Amino acid sequence: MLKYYTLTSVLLLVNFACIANDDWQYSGFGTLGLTLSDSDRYGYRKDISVNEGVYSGDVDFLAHSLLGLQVEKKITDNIDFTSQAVLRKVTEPSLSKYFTLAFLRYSPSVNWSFRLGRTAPDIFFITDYRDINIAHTWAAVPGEVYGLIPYRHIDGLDITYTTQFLDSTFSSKIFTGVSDGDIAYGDNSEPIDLDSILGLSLTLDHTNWIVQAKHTHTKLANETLTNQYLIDFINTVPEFIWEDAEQFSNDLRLKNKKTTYSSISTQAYLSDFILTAEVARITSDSTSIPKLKSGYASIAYQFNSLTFYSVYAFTDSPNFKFNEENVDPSLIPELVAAIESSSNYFASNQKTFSLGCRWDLSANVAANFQWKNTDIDYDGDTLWINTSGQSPAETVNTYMLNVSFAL
Amino acid sequence: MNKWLSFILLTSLCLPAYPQTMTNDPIVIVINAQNPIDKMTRSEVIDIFMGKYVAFANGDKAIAFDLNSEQDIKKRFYQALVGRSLASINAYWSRIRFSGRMRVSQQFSSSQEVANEIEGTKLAIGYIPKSLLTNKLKVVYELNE
Repeated sequence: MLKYYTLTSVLLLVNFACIANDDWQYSGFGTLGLTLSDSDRYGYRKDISVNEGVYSGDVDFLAHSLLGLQVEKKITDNIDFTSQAVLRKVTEPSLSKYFTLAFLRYSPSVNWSFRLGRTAPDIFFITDYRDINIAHTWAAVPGEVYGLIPYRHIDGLDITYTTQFLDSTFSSKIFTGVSDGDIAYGDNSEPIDLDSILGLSLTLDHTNWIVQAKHTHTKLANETLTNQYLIDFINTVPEFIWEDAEQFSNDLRLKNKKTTYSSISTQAYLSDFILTAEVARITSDSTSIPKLKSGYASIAYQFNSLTFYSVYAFTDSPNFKFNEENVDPSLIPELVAAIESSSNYFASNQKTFSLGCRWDLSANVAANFQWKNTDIDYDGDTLWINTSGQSPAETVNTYMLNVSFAL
Repeated sequence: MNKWLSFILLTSLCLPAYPQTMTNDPIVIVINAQNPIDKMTRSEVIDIFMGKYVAFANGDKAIAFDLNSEQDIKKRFYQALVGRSLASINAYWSRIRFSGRMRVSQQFSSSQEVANEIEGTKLAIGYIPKSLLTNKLKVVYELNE
């Protein structure tokens, strides 16, 4: 409710400003992306909100293609408004999902900035511009870190304090609000809401390098239907078969469970080289979301208008194995299989090695080719669409060719 | 004949000389002459034009003016300041602008326009060829290319 109230308030204020003065700035960005893959079992997807995969033989133009339009308005010397809509393939389309930014910013001094409304999530290093393909070296951001975040906005408030520190710029941002997104299980998807988001982002920015540390905790506001069915099923098991069934099902619940996102990242421009690295961690009080470590390291070499790059990325999460002491699994084999399948949904385990080349066709247009070679571990296919019912280890090659622009 | 030969020789010398002069015209970072700031460090200039900390040393908010196209002076400025191409600079500003972190600098189509705007804006800062300097502008940093 808060999010709609916030958004509506912002838009109404902007309409008022629009009537007062029609001095708007327009800009846009976009990507036309071709994606190919070589797996019949694992369908490539950009992130876990997407419910359609790219399989062997597919010629896909939707996974990475998008078109964004941004409007900005300076209302006074200290107040401005920004709104952004991004047309892209979304699961369960709605008007709200296409609006990624809609906020008022108040900057009373160079040190302080307050934003109210819809902002981009600042959970990991580049979460807030992961869809702006021309802004980063790669054809696609490492899915091992960013593919696990289905949220594209936060409705709320953030406060940023920026100051100079030892010949560098230090900024700290706290943000709070709510969000929503989709999580796709195979062909199906379910909405998932985040409540009580509270995050801190610290940045030390020097001439040619930047270091960031981020920590966000939030509560999941709803139970997915898939999880609810499983919980209901567990609760039907008689106590004489499974004594702690209710406790176990409560631990599986997502609703009102705390989930945290943490990350440390750095990027450095060293002569013609760009080095980027990030390690991230997701934890939750719900046993449905296992602890997950992920990260990547990238090295890029710039030669005139070409940038050659290589990326290594990984996810690492413990696989859930049903080993409750007060129940004999042989009495409830289907339920045990369902619990293990559900509890391992977020247990992503894979490693990707990438090679690519970006070609700056002009200052505002870039072509980018990336080859990804991904080793998916047994039961580690969270980031892929898999409707086969089995999750064996497999190596998948994905090829991406994008042309991106920003005007 | 001598008159024509002199004309051709002078023309052939002058034509390439004009762009050569423009290319060699040093780039200076200028502010309004009424601004109390006298000098800036390279780091301060980078902070302002890369949107890291857009203020003068006395704490006043700076208003950065830039050029809006792939002009030679813009390429030279960013190459000399941060060693990055215009494509790299635009990629950098795309992430800042489209993530909503901050608004981009106000942009103009020529260095002359930038100079004129700075003359009329007390807290403005921009880069221009040294040849466009007037007594209403103050040089706070000169780029060594």
